[in-house]
Amino acid sequence: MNVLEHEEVQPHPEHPVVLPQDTFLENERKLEIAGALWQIFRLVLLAWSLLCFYCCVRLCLNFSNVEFISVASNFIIGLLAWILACKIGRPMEWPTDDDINAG
Amino acid sequence: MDSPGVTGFVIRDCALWAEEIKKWIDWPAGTLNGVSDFVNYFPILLSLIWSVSALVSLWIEGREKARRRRAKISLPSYSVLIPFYGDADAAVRTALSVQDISPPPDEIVLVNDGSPEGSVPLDYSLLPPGARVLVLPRNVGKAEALNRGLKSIDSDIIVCMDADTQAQSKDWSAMLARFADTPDLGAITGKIWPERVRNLTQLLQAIDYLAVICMVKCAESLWGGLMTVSGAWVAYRRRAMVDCNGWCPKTSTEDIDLSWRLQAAGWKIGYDAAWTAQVEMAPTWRSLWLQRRRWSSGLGRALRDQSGGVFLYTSRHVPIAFMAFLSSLWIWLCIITASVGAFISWKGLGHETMLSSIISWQASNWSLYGMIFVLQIGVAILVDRGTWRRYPLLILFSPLYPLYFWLILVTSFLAGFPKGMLRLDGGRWEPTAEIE
Repeated sequence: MNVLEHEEVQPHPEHPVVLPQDTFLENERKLEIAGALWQIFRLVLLAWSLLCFYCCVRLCLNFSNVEFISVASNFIIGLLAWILACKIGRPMEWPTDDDINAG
Repeated sequence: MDSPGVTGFVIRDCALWAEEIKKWIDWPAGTLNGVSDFVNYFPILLSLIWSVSALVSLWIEGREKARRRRAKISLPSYSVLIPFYGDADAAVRTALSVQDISPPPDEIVLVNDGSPEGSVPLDYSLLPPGARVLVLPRNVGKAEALNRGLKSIDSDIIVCMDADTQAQSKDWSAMLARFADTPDLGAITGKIWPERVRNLTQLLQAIDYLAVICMVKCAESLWGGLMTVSGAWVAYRRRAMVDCNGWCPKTSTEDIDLSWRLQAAGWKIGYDAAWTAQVEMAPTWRSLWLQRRRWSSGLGRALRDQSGGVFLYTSRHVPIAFMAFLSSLWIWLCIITASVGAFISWKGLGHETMLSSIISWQASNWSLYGMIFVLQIGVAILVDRGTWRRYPLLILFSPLYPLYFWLILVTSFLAGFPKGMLRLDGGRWEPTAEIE
């Protein structure tokens, strides 16, 4: 269901309808591919982070000989990877909607 | 620490990771051990990640709130939208609970979603001044009813409440200031807290809300998004709603679906632990199970229909989708490994040995899980920072949570998740508490 189909709701003035052009579509496609690769990179970072945390838990559960330095370094690396994956949600250099429309 | 030392640790860590990965890909023994490790360690990891993230999120949000208070931001306009089906008295109670909110809403809109004949009629004289009622000629479902309400409201922010929700916070300025301060914030969901706890079913739900649902939302907001807003208590930016074409009537959990679509389109979703409401908990085991089955079905549907959105360049919820996927995988692997283990033991060792081996396996892990869960409840109480007099009771009954988890949450997940994944969930929302 599209709420815009109902007569009471008008298209928002900040989202004008732009007719697709070749350059626009090409840019959009490039953006889609780059975006997908970027999000996969974030997934890899998250998986790596979990691997570090997993190593931490494994090392901690080795009660007879806990290697504190290894636990700490894995924890810090895992935490950094996690924060990086969460905080780089939207790369700064991505073009805005206005840039795309202008292109 | 000197440079060679750092290099040494990095090399040791790399060797450790390589060793683990090498073990996992060594089919079949290594891979099966890896699966077993994942089943055993994932809850511990998840609990620790939630706890640490919730504490950091609490600290950051506290600082942000203080900054916004100092900035004296002008607040956006807002209206309250309350859809209901059948229970008009509850809808009136909900409307009355928001009549003395500061700042006052532009209007309170109730949507009567084609209540069936014979249900209690709405007493207009009880409604607060300025309230408006949209009467739909036939029942169209919650999502469609909300869409009709959305069309009739012009305010910047739309606060949606279920008919069994009562606003507890009377000052909404902090929540509204957050919308004004963050232009790409599409929605904020608040904290839901049980209205009354009258039996064990509701007590265990209270533990679930405190130690899992509220704390997880607090943690997830640090990761850049939320798995879902609470449809019963949420504020949306109208522009974000129009951008995402409103609520989808084809799913039974319109809140999960909308949350994923909003985040895929680049809108942020936040959690405000200080913006609270009371909700009637499911009163019986059956109604609870049906409610949780519907939620699981919604998760399945979201993972199926909205996974593509995760890979859009605008998407904000990659960590959320990643953890949702791992959590779902964990439950399925738990069931599969336990079933296979039981089958092998039964074939090889006989019934009695099979039973004792399962019990010993569970006991060895549950003591560790129990310790971690108590730690999680401690963090949740710290994050909650309320003065609820039932905290000691919750901690006392927390050893029952594993039973609640396996008997209610896991079984409802097994029944609901495939329904959502296979799109068999019908798409019509029904009030769970009344399915009796």
